[in-house]
Amino acid sequence: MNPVTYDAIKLTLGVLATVGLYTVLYRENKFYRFWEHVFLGLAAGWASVTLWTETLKENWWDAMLGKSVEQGVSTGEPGYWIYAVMLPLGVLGYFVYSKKHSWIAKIPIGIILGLWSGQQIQIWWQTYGPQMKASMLPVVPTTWESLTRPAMNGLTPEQMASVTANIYPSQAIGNILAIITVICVLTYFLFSFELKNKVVSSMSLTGRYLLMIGFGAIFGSTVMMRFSLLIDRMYFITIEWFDALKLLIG
Amino acid sequence: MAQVQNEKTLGEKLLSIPRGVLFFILVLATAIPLRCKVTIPNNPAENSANLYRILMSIPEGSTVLVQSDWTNSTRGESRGQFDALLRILMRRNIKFAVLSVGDPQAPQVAKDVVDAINRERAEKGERQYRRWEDWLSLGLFPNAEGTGNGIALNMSNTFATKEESDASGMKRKVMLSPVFQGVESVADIAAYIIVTGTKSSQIAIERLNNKVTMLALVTGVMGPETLTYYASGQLKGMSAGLKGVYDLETMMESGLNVTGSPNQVPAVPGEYPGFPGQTNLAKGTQYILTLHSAIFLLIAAVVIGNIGVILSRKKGQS
Amino acid sequence: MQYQDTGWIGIAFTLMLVFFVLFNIRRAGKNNDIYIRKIPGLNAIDEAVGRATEMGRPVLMVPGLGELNAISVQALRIFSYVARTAVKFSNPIRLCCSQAPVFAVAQEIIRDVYQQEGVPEKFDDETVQFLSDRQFAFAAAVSGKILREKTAATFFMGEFFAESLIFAETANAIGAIQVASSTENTQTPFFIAACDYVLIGEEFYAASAYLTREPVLVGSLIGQDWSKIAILITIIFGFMMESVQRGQMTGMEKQPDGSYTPIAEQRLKKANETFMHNVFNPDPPKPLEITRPQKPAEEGAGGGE
Repeated sequence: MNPVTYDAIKLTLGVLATVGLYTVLYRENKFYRFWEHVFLGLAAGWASVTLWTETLKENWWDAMLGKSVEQGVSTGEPGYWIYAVMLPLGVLGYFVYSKKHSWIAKIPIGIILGLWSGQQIQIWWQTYGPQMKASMLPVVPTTWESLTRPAMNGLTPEQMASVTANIYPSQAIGNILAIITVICVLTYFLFSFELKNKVVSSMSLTGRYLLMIGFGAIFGSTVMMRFSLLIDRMYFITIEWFDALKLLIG
Repeated sequence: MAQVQNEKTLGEKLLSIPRGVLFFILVLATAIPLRCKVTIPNNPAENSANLYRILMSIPEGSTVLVQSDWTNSTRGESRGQFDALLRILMRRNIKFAVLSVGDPQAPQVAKDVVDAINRERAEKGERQYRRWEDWLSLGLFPNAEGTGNGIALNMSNTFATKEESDASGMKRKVMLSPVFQGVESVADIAAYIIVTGTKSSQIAIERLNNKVTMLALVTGVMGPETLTYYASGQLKGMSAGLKGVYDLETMMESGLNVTGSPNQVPAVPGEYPGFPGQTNLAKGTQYILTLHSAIFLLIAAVVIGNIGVILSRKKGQS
Repeated sequence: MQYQDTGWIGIAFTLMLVFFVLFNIRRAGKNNDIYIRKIPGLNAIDEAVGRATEMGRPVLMVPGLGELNAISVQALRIFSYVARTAVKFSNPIRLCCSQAPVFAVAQEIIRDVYQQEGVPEKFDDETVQFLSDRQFAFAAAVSGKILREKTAATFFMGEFFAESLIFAETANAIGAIQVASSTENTQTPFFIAACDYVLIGEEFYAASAYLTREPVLVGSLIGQDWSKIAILITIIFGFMMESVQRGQMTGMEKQPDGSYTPIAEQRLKKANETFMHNVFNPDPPKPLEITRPQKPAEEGAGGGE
């Protein structure tokens, strides 16, 4: 098949799938259901193939068997038979289908959960240490020469160093806000204390309001992303597909 | 008289605009501006400017790792980011290895885009980026956490099972490729760059941030959460969403902090030139006007809805 | 050996948090009456299931897109409570999973609930289902299920990403009562906009501890509270120290390798010269060294080797 026809068929199927899934906005219908199942089938098929090609074959099967030397193709590699131990461990997971022995499936699941939990402890400091440090912001201005931090363009290295070492009043105000937010929001998420103290309960309430402001900002950013996805679909239909059809018709 | 009572007030009418009409207007608002060629003025965000600064400061010939976890699901934003990133890397002769930890489709999507950018370079008579010598596709790593740990502790061991064909067609271990020449651990990598629409960026940052310079190009959804890591210095630069793509493209077009360039970010020291005369303005520039039109429509809908609610409440009170 | 070489404070701080959790789990095992603040959204669970019973329609639950980890397991614990309430009222359940290991655990947990309530025969293939591990294929399948089965109550709890709004909006369109909670901050606003009740952030973990009163969960929750207080104290101490030190003058210059050399003129301390900076950054970053050719020798050559 010539590439122009192939492209046109490929993109037309893509457009049908896109429109098919969008029809749910009107109401649930057979056309939507058809494409929903095509989508599910394709995803399942792709996932099973890549599970073998990208994960099991390369990382386990080939590593276990090794490779013999083939002139011009492979320089050979020893096999690591110890990898065979993984198979029974993985197969234990299939006991979930046995009503009598389903408990055996909990062994690999327990190992997965244990590994995950161990890793969370291992990375805790690396994740939150720098963030705790970043929350320790200076709140006292060191200069009143300028209200805001001056631009760095055209400054000598010494002047730049002086600008970065100083804390300007606008920075101090921003830092105070950041620290209040961190403290209040953390207070909101304390569950094992009764918030009887007025100061603590009002900090908790402030924390709730500050969270809502934060969620509002996140909402805005996320809405933009949703629009970007729609815009890209529109580009796909109104430009990529139209162009492919134009090429086909000549 | 009964007919009069059933008649809807203006407030009720505003609140009961049929969904179909709203969707139709949305389709028009997103389809028509795509055809318009209007340039929107831009002021790059500091995080995007730092991303560009670092990409432009990486020594030529060095190697970066690109963790590409996006697929066509987030093509609207991630494709533009990946395109811009590859263009910068290729123009600056920086070698790269692409790995994916999230989605089985991601390695293929990344390969397709590298091929597309290579075709673009071929049309302009520029040097082709060749697999094995200039770039590598390391494929999918099934567990993000384990892979991150592996790269942090022993990178060559983590990539030990991966092979690619060299120039003669013989399958060889990727660590023997020119891309990884002189690279023994992740500390020898100039930057670890993540392009993603999911949390995989955070998993990598948590494990690698104290070992290598980390950069991220994320979708608008992941932007606010990833910004925390940028603010704490765990990420040295990042681009978020379509605005991030547009930032990168405008900086590629006219440079950053260069005299005469509209892209001036005072908080970022130094001047970084662009690539004038080359393909810089692409997906981000194409979509940004449409994004404005869609957001304008959203704001209008929110205002109309609120007016409707206020008018209906007034009627209820009276 | 100096602090710079070990950076022991990170390990010590982490061990302290681990101790807080383990100590409180032990404490909760001995004492069942430890106080936990009730979260308003919890009442909504019974209300939602009650509504589904009145309407005679199924209750739908999704434990997020995350792999098998503490988050999805917590979601399943909450769902076991929801399922128990639903089974008592003979309400059908639809629990949709996107990860095979989560599906296996969910099947176990929900089957147990049916057995404990004395109706094991009502647990069928439709009750817990694996739909797809691809994000948007899963979103399409769950939306289809919500629309076709006209679920009366929906529970979305766990790790959600871009598909969150698709779920919430679809369920909203058919008028289902929705209770949601995501550990992903970016998705919480969408749930707040489209759902009836939302558990914000950590409330998700508190909910499972409150509902089950299991010592491990209650103890973990209290241990986490202690940890938050420790973090709060550290941050308050830290910002005070920074505020004082950034205003101080110094006659020493910090070098990239972490050492100090005297300078002629005194100047303000830089951000990387304070006590807290040194505590949190014991190991200075090493400069990148590239020894190979930096550009292809000729046009078309790859460089290296």
